[in-house]
Amino acid sequence: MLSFAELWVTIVLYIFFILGIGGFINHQRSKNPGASLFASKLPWFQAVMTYIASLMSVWVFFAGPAGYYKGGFTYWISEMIWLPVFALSAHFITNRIWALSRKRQYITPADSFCDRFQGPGSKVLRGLVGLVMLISAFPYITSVIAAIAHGGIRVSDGSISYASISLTLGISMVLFTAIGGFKSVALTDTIQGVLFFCVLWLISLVVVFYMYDGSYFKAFKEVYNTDDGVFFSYPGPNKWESYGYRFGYPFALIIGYSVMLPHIFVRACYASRDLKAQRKLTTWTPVVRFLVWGACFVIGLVCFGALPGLDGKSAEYVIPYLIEGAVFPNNPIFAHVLMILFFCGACGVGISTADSYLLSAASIVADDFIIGIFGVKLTHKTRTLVGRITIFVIGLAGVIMAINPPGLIVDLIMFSIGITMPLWPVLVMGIWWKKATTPAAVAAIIAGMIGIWIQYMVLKNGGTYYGALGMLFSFIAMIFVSLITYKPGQENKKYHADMVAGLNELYIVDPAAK
Amino acid sequence: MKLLRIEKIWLIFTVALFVVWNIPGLPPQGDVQGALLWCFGGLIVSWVVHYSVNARIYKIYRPRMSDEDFLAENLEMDRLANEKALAEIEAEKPRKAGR
Repeated sequence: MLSFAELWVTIVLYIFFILGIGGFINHQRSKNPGASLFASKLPWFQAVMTYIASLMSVWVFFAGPAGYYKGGFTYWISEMIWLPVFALSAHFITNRIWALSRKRQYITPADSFCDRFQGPGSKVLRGLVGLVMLISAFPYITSVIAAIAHGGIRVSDGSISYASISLTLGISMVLFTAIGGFKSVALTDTIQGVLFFCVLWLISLVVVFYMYDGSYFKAFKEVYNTDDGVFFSYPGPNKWESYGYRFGYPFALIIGYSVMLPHIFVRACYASRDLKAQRKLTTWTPVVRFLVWGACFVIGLVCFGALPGLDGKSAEYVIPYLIEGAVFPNNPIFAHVLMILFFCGACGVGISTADSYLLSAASIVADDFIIGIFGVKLTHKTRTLVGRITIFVIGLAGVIMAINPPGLIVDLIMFSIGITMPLWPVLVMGIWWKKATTPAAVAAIIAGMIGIWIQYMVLKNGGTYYGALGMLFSFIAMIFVSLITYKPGQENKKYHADMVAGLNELYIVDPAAK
Repeated sequence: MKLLRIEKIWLIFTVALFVVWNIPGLPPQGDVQGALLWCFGGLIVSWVVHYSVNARIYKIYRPRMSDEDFLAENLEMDRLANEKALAEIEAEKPRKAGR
């Protein structure tokens, strides 16, 4: 639909936008020589929006509507029902880490793990945590760039090559992240987050307007009456939502997706400027996620009614199909505008995730491996330089991988989520069980990875249960090895005392509460 | 900090809801009305309970520090980081001059 020129003008303007912000933030940073490339304290709105934008990835414009198109209503609900559990995770886990991070200035996820699990084995633990996070980063970065490039081809009807889009946008993203760092990533996440939220609902509104006379109720009713309501019942139109998947998928989302992915972990546990920001993050993110995924669901539903029978790969382009099928015949100019907005939205949401991931991956390499494990002493200036070089190397590796990406986007993303799940028992038991030991933490991560391998390679049901078995192995190993290796008096008393002191500094507890 | 009763109930409720939600065979496959009832029921219970408990938790754990206190703390952190970076730059100068 879009011409070669239209698409390139869109891409160039988008690149100017992100590089402009990166340059502006870099200029601001030059006035503060101590400002970090990898960390910043964010006010509440930015904290919420950067968390949301980092989570959403290209899921929102491609795999999300496609997922609901194929999985149906019960698939959507299996995610929505567990969104508020984030409040529970925040209260028992992330807010506690944040209370410590205020004083200890954690940068990478491993900082938090290794602060708790010290002594012999702590460096191995840092390496393992860093490695798992890095392994999860590559599929994400790659899938995002690949999805945007495929989207570019789709909206331009193949008038632009896959390699040219992925290289241009990929390299621009790497440049932007290296120049601007965390603060510019958070700022663009906020702007792009608001943009893609509006674009998504606009597309849903326009499509419903043209196809169902503007009535969401009519759209629901028609789909409800199609094929005996298969869209609204278990196991859904493509039989995705089996009882096993109903357990495995939300479980991966509660644990892996909402807390443990490295760029999400940093945002949920370290980035808030004050308690107000941390609390708003807890309260608002489930609501915003519900609204974003709600828009995806409506688009998936409308497409199910209008264009049944799309195969797996085609279904990832339900939005372009709807714009072409429903809007273009009625209003070609508006259809062009919507298609440009769709592509900008996809770029925005994709790059806001990939740059966050890239930044986390680079900080893991620079802080965990170069400084933490190899013990290289760096000044603040050299550390920033090393960080930027690392961003370039990892980013370019991701871009090169994106030239020939494996599998479906949704599979790549879900594997990234699953692989971080075995870290969760280590994190939780580190906070809540004083007898948890460092060797147990190391053993738990190794056992967890074995569990992931068995789930994906032996049982071949990784696509249903993701990291569930790995997490179970990790839990068992953590308890078992801790009981064997624990010696009285060797607890990390300072860590727990500082956490209690940090919480006491933050809260006045109602004395009447039991 | 010792766990309060409401926190324990919150944890137990979440685990119980997850277990109940995942009872195999409920609702039966292909049952549209059963699925709608099951899904909306679960959705409403989960959101209402989690948000209600969270609101109660916020009332129990009231903030001790004001926004201004946090701002001052963050500014102090920035000042210390800047001082450290400047000291490193100053320390680098003689070394560079010596080359």
